[in-house]
Amino acid sequence: MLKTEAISKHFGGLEVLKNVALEVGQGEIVGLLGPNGSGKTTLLNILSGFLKASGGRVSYDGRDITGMEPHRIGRLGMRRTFQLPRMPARMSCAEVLLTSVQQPAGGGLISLFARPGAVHAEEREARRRVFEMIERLSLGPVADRSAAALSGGQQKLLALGAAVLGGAKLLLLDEPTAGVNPALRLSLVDTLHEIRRQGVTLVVVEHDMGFIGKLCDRCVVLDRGTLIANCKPSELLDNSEVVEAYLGRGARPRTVALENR
Amino acid sequence: MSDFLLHILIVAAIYGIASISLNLQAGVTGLMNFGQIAFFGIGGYAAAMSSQAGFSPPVGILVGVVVAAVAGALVGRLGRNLDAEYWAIATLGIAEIFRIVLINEGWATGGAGGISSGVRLFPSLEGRAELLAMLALSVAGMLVCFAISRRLTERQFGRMLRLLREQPDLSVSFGHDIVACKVRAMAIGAAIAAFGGALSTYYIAYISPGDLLPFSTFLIWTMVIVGGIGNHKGAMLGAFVVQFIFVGALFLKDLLGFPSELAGALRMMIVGILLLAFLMVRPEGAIPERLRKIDAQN
Amino acid sequence: MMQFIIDTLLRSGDLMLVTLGLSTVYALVRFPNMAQTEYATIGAFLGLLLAGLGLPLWLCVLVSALLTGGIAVLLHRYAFARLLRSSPVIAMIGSMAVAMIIRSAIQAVAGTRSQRFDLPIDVPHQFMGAMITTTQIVILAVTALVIVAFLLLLFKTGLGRSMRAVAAQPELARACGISSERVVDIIGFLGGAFAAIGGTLLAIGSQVHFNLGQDLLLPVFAAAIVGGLGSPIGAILGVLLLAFVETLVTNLNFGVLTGDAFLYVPLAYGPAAGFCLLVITLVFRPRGLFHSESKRV
Repeated sequence: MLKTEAISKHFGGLEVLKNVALEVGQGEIVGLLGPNGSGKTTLLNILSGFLKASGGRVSYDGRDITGMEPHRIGRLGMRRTFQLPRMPARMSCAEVLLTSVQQPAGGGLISLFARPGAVHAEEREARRRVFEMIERLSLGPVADRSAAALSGGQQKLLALGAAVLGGAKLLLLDEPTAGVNPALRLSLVDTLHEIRRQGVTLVVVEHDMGFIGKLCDRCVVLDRGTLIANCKPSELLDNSEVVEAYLGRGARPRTVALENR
Repeated sequence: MSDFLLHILIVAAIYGIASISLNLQAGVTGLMNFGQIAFFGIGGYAAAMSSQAGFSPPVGILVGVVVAAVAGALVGRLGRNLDAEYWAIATLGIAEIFRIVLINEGWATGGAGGISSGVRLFPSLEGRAELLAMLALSVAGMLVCFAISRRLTERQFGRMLRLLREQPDLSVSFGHDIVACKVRAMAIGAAIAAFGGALSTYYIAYISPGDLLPFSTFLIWTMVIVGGIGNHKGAMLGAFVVQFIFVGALFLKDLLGFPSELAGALRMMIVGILLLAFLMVRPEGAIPERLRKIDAQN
Repeated sequence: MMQFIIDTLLRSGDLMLVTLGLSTVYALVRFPNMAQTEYATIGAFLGLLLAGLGLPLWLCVLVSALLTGGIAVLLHRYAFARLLRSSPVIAMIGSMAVAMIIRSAIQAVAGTRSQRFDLPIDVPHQFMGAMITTTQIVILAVTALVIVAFLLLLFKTGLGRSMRAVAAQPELARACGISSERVVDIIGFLGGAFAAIGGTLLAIGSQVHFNLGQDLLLPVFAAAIVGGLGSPIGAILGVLLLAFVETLVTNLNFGVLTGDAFLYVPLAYGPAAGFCLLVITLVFRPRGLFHSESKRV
């Protein structure tokens, strides 16, 4: 589904990513971990086209997308979320979701006036799907509120819903649990598994080891721009390099468990 | 209704068209266009030049609208990477370049003196009847532009614009080509402004570079902000309000006994104070843009 | 050739101080203040007023600069600071409104006729085949003096260091105990004062009218943007480049292209050349021609 070769990125003299080779299979849920500054978000930005890599290639669904415009990558089905949700203040949640649905007739300048029937039909179908999604994400009470007025956790849900509504085949999530309360975290794992069941591949950048443990099939760890591990979540803490990267040299590994409440 | 009142209303309706066009670009899409008067001027000069060449008004209007749309698209493309404030300065510069060219290429454009449009819109009508017909035309024109803008803004096309105005990154992640969106918004806005400019020139039978000074753009901005930025009804309301204040300033001048030369200064000062007051106290305008409620059937 | 250089310098002199003030203030307020060029008009007319009251020329320049600086500070505190709380774009539109108000006020008070200082007859000098008058030399000298003094202030004094710190990193500067309100006041004052000196010098060298601010608006912004908004050195270089381009375009004999003996671009297109430079800069390098990406930390 997704494959990178020798991705490197530098900003001026600072080398942020070195020779990153990553492979994600269809239907997998892969966690992307690493301490702060290891280059996770940069990698995500390069994969989704928001940044151009200094070197290397990215291929998605069999095509080479290196250097492709981010909106075209989005149209091909690779969607991403942002670490800080940044929702518009002058649009309601329902409207944001509606905007995410692909509506070629309603979005085209000429077709908007030339094909009113198609536009109308598209709108009805889009609205139906939007309300379905609002139900699924339990955003009913806030659907008509300004999207920017939602809590951090709700905004992340909204972003997730928008990505799925937009027809995502590969979803890159940038720290989906940051700022989200523990109860919501649990249900998020279920929601993401449900999304995977519908055929979506997921790459999740995260810090929360417990969340990763419950969610991911496989983990990839970055440290200072290089890939240092590629294993199952349960094997993470056995890897001394990973432990060192997070906790510093000489730290002793401790088991982290997600408490079931 | 006196002839003078009819005249004021006609001009207000034409301002309304200009106001709607700017609202589409600035209010809905967030493009800080401070050269809008240039597109208005393209319509006006197209009307005047084509009537000098003997073409009928519909042709003149069409030419103006098409040329302006192309120009608008070009400007949108040029400025695709610019932040809002730089956009403002760039469009101001482009409009000024346009005005300077108009003044200097007198062989085509009549130079600083401008050109007149000899063709009348209603050749069979005279006096009061002609004014009424003009009023009907300009109000109808304004309502058509309102309908077009509303359809654009309330469907997916408008949603794409409104999202990119606040959160361009989110918009890109949805797969929207935001440069294409901006280009289209500029093209349509320019076309509508040109329509207004053409109507204006056919009505007044004259246009000159002096009509295209930066102050004219600021006037349209005042209408948009006072009326309600992002709201097309607000844009129309703003146009009528500012036009009446403009005229009111004339009466005020007579009332207070100011000499005529001060009329221009007085109008500019009132417009400036009005704009500043709204920006400080109620930047969203008289009729603010409301959050849209989505029903299953809208 | 020498005349070309002198013409360029004279045009630079017209724009220099106003642009310097604009660019420096931008570093702090982060919005393009469209009323900035109106300060030049205010300064010029205040200077004319004071001259009418009998003050000697140098005192007119000084007092008008002080008064205009004060007006700039007040406008910033009571209008622009408030508008900035909404957004920089609102502040920019608001500055246009303020500019309209100032311009119409000056028009109402001073009328629409051009005005100039009542000065003794100017003495032209020959210099390497070109002509320059005493007044023009004095104006260029004063302009250069102000620039040098400002650069010394900026780079050699503690106050200048504070100014640069607040311009680069406002929060950090505040955390270090530098009072940014005071620095903003001082920079705003200087912005107004420089504009006033520039405007008064224009009134001395040629003439001014109520629309001076509007006439200066685009050239000044063009020069400031080309040089990079926020950088005093950039402003100086930007003005020189703009003046050079304007002078070049109207002095070049394009006759070679068409086979005529003479083919010149009309003088009125001079400013248009400057605006084209502005638009080109904005399209390709909006941060200024001299800006280097790595400077931003």
